[in-house]
Amino acid sequence: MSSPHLDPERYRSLRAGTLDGAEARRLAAHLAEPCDVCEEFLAALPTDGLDGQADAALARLSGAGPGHDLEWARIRRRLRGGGWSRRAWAAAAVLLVTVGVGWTALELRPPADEVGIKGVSAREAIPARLRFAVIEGGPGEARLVRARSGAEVSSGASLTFRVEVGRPAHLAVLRVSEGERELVWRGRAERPGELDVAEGGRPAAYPLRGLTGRQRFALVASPGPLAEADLAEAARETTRALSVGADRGAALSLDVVEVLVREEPHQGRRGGARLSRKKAMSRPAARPCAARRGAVLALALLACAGPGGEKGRLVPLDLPQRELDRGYAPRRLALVVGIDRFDEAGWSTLRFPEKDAADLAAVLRDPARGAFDQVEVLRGGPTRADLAAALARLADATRDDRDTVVVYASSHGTLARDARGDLRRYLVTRETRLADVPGTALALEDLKASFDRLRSRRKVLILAACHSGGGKSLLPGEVSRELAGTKGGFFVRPIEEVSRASVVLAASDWGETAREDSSLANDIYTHFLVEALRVGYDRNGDGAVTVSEAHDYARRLTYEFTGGRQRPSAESTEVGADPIVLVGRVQRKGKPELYSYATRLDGFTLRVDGKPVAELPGGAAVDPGRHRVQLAKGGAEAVLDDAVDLRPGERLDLEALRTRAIGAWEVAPRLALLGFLDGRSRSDVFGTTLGAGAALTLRDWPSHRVNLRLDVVGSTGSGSLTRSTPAGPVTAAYDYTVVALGAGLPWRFAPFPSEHVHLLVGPRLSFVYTHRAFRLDLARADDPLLVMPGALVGVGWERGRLTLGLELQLDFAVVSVDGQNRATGFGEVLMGAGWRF
Amino acid sequence: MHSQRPPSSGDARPDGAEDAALVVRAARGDVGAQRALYDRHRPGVARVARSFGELDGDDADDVVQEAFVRAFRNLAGLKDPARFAPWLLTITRNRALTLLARRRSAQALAEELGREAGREEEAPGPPDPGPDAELEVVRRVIADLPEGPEKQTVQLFYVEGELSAREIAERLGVGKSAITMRLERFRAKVKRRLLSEVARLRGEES
Repeated sequence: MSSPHLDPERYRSLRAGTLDGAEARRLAAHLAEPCDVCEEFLAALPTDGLDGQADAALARLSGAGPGHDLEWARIRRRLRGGGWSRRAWAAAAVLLVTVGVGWTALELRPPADEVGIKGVSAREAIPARLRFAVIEGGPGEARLVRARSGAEVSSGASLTFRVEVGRPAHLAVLRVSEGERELVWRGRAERPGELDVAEGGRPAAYPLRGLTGRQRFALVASPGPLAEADLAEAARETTRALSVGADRGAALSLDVVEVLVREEPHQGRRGGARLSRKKAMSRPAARPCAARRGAVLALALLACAGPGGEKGRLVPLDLPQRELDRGYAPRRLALVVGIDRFDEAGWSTLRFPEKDAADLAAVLRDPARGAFDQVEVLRGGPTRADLAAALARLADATRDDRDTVVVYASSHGTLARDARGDLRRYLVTRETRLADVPGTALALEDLKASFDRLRSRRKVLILAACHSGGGKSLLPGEVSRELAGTKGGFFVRPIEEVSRASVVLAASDWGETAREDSSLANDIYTHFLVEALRVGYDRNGDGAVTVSEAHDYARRLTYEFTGGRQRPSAESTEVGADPIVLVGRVQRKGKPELYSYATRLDGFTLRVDGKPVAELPGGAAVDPGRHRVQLAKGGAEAVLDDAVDLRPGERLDLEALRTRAIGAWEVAPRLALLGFLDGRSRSDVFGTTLGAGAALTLRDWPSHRVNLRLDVVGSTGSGSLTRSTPAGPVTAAYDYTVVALGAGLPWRFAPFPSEHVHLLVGPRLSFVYTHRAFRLDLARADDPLLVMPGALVGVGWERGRLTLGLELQLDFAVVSVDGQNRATGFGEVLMGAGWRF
Repeated sequence: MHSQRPPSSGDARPDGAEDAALVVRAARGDVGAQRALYDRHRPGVARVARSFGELDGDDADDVVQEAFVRAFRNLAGLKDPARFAPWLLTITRNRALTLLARRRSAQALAEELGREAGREEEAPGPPDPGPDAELEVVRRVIADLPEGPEKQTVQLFYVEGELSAREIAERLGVGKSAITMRLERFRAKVKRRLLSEVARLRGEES
């Protein structure tokens, strides 16, 4: 009798379906009961179909769900392999993502740990921001609405204010109108952050009843107590500046908002509550409590302020804090435009713009993804006027500088010469005629200009349009001929040159064709951008998907999908530092990130601890700690090989790191020509002299592109001074020694096509010590020390670590000659080579 | 990889007939059908990949991708489209074992283990109990397990289906290999019972 257990032979014939029937029945009965021998045999078998069968049965135990889009995209790419050429390109698109970051000076961005409100005031002044909301509606229907500065508000409404400061400060809110000044509120912020303008310990409202016309409200912030003179000064500034942080020296910060008060038809006449302008200054004290109640109680605002109301018009507000917070919360807004219908037959019908728009709108609206508060979709072939109207609506809805605004437009694009003969890019709208593109299409610069005017400083402009002349785009005949005759790339003035406050990311390089794909049913870049938002591509794990993360994802996948034919790139280093969140919110410090969008690093591979982690432009998140960071292209020598300590939340620009690695310090010996700018000082003090010295520069400190520069130049020589005396002219010979020390903060920028040449411009303070000894026994030596403010301009050339430089330093000086003070200038011309280390 | 899992679309257990229709379309290059197959079978594939305690999360993700890529590339070689699931999961297991074998620097073993399940399908297959009967077998094997660590592990891994072998090891405070071993032992029981069904059908056939 053979063994009842499984053996290889039995197993094979059973699996092959050839086992004898009786044997099979015996085996079935045996295997139906536990058997260690058989189980061990089965466990030891190499993987085969039985494993699959078992796994399939086990997989059915737990519910199934759809897979990951990101993973699927990868699988698709691998399956596609080299099949890209088989795909029919439906059209072509050039996509630009323009990230506007308001009028903020990005270079002066405060470090992440500091509390800073950008765009408000200089570094030394207290960052301060005034926000307001309008309370309108009758009894029982009072509602809080955010309004933008400049909006029209009914005189029956009230305003609430919220203040944000970057440091502890003494604060005041003023109302200024046509020469009137009213102190609305005075308070103190003990710590950085937000606080509500309050009365009696509760957030308060300011009724507008009795006011008409333009009313400006100014937040004044100061490190010390605010004196009456400060407020007067602030009021004067307020009449001049609107919404632009003005600071007086380093002490006083201002932020101004404005409303246009429209008199309500019935209220103006009732009770004659309007005060004369002359009385306006004293209105706070004189204002009767009843008038306040009339305006405010009707709005679910409660009682009068404190005893006697001597503090002014502010009335405590009976709104739950949560509701107030909700009213002030920044919003996410989007305008999404897909144009695929055109009046003129010359523009071919496009397949995907409306779908692109719909897909993007869907992910932005999705409460689990973008959770945008407002997404307007324009479709059905909008005209230029439709677009302008939609942008105006968006401007109206954008009330807060913290609002995130996304504008997306997908259509044909084209190039044309404008009236001045410059080649410009245009977005084709429904009525655009090929014969008159400048007159009938929307110039991207105009679009960008309306975009720049939005109050938000978190703005993303995504333009999906085609300018390459192929597929989706169509160029006027003369432009086509011109381009056809151009061997190299053609010059189009890029948007970023036009607007300083923006950063441009290009979904494809200039002249390159961006594409749509029928299998994706989108244009490619948009598809992956949407996908990044949908799958939540949070590279650094901080809980939010930022514009940089989404763009990097889309850039990488577009590049891979097109087999390198389309290379989305960014044209500014600031992009990586942007905090524009499109999905989720930042919940924690993410992994440190390394990034670069600098064109000069295009195509370089970023290696961390020897492993390739990213192709530039782009970035990668790495674990906190010390890492070896290398940048190299192909097999070439690394341009960067440095050990770096990275902390959570840190974002490190590789370009800056490279600068640091090449050498943040530069020492530069200099030959100098120095002297006074006027002849009299040259003859009375000392003449123009040749000297030698050196300059020491610390690059990118205190800020990106700003250098700290210290210089010293010395010279010795001799001269003579002739004076007429009662005894006749006396000539006195003297020897002198001059030592000029200077400290400057020049801004470094490269306006020329060559990246090796840069200019320096900036302020400088110099200290000039002069020792002059007369060769006369009776004359005393004089050795004045002059402290002179001035400026520095220079031009530099650099190659690797070697630099050549020429600088002109001009100072304002007051010299004392024969007991008389005289204003003059002092100049130094320096030139020489330097070395970075 | 930082990706969110899209919400589950309810009960979408793979069904042989639906699979067969999708496989036919997918083999013709229908991307929608490929995606549907991926969505239907991804959880099962991930489950197999994550049953190997020696593989970390990234490895398991690699195995999942690799399995789908191989499966879709060799779809034409699948004789019985209704048996897509077991075929795909066999590929998955092979990919995981190949990865582990490579890691152990046993190239020859890797080559040996790296055999494609697709080739196996060339032979006339054994009698097929059908998905419902197989599921019933699995349920019975679990029910028959005595209360203890093995049953607990099986419940966590296959029934609740949320944790990987590694995570279960951490939760239960035992080594990764212990969990892998428990799961393998359990799978051997499932295979035995499945084989018993196959043998029964074979006996009835002849």
